[in-house]
Amino acid sequence: MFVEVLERNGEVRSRMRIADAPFTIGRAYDNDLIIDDPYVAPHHLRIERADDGSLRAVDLATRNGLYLLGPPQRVQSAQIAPDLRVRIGHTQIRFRDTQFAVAPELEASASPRALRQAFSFYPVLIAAAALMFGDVHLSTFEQTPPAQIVASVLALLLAAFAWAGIWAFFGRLATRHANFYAHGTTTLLGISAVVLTYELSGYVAFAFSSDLASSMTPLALAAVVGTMIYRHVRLVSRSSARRVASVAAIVTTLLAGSMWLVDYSASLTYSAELDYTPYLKAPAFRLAPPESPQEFVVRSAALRAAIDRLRAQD
Amino acid sequence: MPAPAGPDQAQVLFDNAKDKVLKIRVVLNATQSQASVGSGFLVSADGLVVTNFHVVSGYLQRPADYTVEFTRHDGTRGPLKLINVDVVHDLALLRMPGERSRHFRMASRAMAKGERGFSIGNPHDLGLTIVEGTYNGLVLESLYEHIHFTGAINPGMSGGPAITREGLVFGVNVARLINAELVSFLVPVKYVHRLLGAARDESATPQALLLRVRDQLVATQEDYLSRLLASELPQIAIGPYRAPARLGEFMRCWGRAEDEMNQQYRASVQSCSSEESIFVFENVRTGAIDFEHVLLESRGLGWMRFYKLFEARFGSGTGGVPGLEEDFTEFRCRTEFSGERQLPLRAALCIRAYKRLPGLYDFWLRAATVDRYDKGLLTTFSLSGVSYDNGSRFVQRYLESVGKEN
Repeated sequence: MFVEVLERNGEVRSRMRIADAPFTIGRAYDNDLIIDDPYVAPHHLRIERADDGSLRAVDLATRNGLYLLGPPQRVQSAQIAPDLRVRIGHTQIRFRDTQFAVAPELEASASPRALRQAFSFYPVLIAAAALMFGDVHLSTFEQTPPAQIVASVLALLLAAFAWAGIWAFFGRLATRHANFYAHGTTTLLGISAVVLTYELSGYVAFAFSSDLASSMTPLALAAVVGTMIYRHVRLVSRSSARRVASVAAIVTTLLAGSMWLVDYSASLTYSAELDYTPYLKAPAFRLAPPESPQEFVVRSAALRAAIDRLRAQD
Repeated sequence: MPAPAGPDQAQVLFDNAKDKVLKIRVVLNATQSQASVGSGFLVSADGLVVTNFHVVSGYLQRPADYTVEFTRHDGTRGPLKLINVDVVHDLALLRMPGERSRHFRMASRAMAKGERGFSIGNPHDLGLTIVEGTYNGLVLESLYEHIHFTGAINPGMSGGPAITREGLVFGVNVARLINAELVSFLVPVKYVHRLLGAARDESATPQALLLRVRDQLVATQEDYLSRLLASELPQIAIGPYRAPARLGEFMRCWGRAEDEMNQQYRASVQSCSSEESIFVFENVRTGAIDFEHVLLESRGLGWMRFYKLFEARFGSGTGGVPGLEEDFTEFRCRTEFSGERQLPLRAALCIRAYKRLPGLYDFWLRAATVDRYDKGLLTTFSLSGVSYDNGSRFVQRYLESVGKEN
């Protein structure tokens, strides 16, 4: 039988074979297993062999006691079964025997992980840089030396690298793997997706002359941001995919909610702005038919109703 | 020529006029401090006083908070009651309670261009002043009739009389062109006659007078828009397009080109403005029409960049139009394709209502042609203080007038 001291994230911090019973666990140096947790008593647990050969963990009348996990339940002693987890002080410990079945090994690729990440990173970097270059180029209407555009693209890329670097730093702390390339890929794909979402929603809004597309844009952006958060967090933690997904969903919902709140509170204060749909695209992208001037005026009658309602509110 | 003996003409006129001219103040009740100062003059023996509407409009805006007061040249003071208004010609009629008083008589003869006139008032609250100037005829290119007077009318003289050398009133001081020397405007005396002749109810409440202001504004926009809309709008050719041209004598138009050295497009701008508007309240002027056409032409931009530029120009109007919450509702807008068969337009229409003047609206329209990959026309108009129906009709006419040049 082995006793394992676990990290908070479930990783094994240390592992020791229980060769002989009784076996003692505590903070004092005369124990068989020493745990440096100030909430663990100097002599906390004794593992004893019963007459039938089974092992029991017995609480040595400590202040903080011995807890079974699941719904925490304080017990005087616990029968040790394979894969049993208990808590003493602030420390989780787990028992496993030699028969414990471990999962089969993962398939390793011939190339190291960093190299694989680099393979996807560089094409993404080139594509994202091209997209940024195009975006800046399309929005300059003077003859501009390419070097000037490259400079502004570089500034954007540096910001993206800084963002990826922060994640890589925390990943290195938490999992010992920086995964800079993977974070970089995620960041660049995310930025590109945001740019393309805005562009696309403008084209759809124009083509169909519909505000529906622009009102859906925040949802699409939330999906992009949620996916980015998911991928970054997956790389810096060892939690399960499902758990990370729910964290990402919660964070995204909170972000979207606070953005909505900011928008909503701004809408409560008077504004003399003209809030029309500003998209204008080339003729080929127009799919909706034009209204005749007379139809245009007739169908704008809803504006009057809306304004007269505003007026009546005062 | 030897100088005439005895007192100067202006001196005689001033001596004769000084106790018929009043300083008029709108005073905040709470602190007894003045919110606006102007001039006014007596027009009848029983205490009728004429001034500019804009001198007393602050009172009409918040009658509970303000009082209108007069101060005579000799320093005596007292309250005035507002009894009638002509917002379009910027006149107000007030009643001074109490004793019989000396008053001005109106000129009945026409003035000749170049004739001398004298404007009396209280410039910058510096005390009663007389200013000599020249009558220069009626301003022809104008929606709202004015006399062009070459003389130094300064703020505070508003509402004071302009008199002939015989001492008869031929106009009321109203405004001065900023950024110009001595170019001033007077309200012709016939509108004073009309205001004096109009039926009046001296017990009218400020609320009733405010409704009268509204009715006058509705009537005047009805009048000039029905004339404008009686026929199709005049058109001019702008590059490959046609668009509304100067709508009448009352508009001034200007042109300019944006054509910088490295710029890969050319923008030709034509803007027309009625230049005049009706003062209703502080920050509220109505009755103006402005429009602007911008022809954008690509010079090697490529269609994607050209449309990025065109889109940026089209969207640049969202910044807004001046206006305060107490005066206007927010704008509500609609963006749609419109236009005649041959030429699709992307049109954004925004409308807001006047809060104190029910039935009046501001219209703003911007339209962009969507038919070519290297040229486009962006046209914008704003029309302030019109009825919804007239505004709508104008929008329709305007859109119908944007087309392709054959």
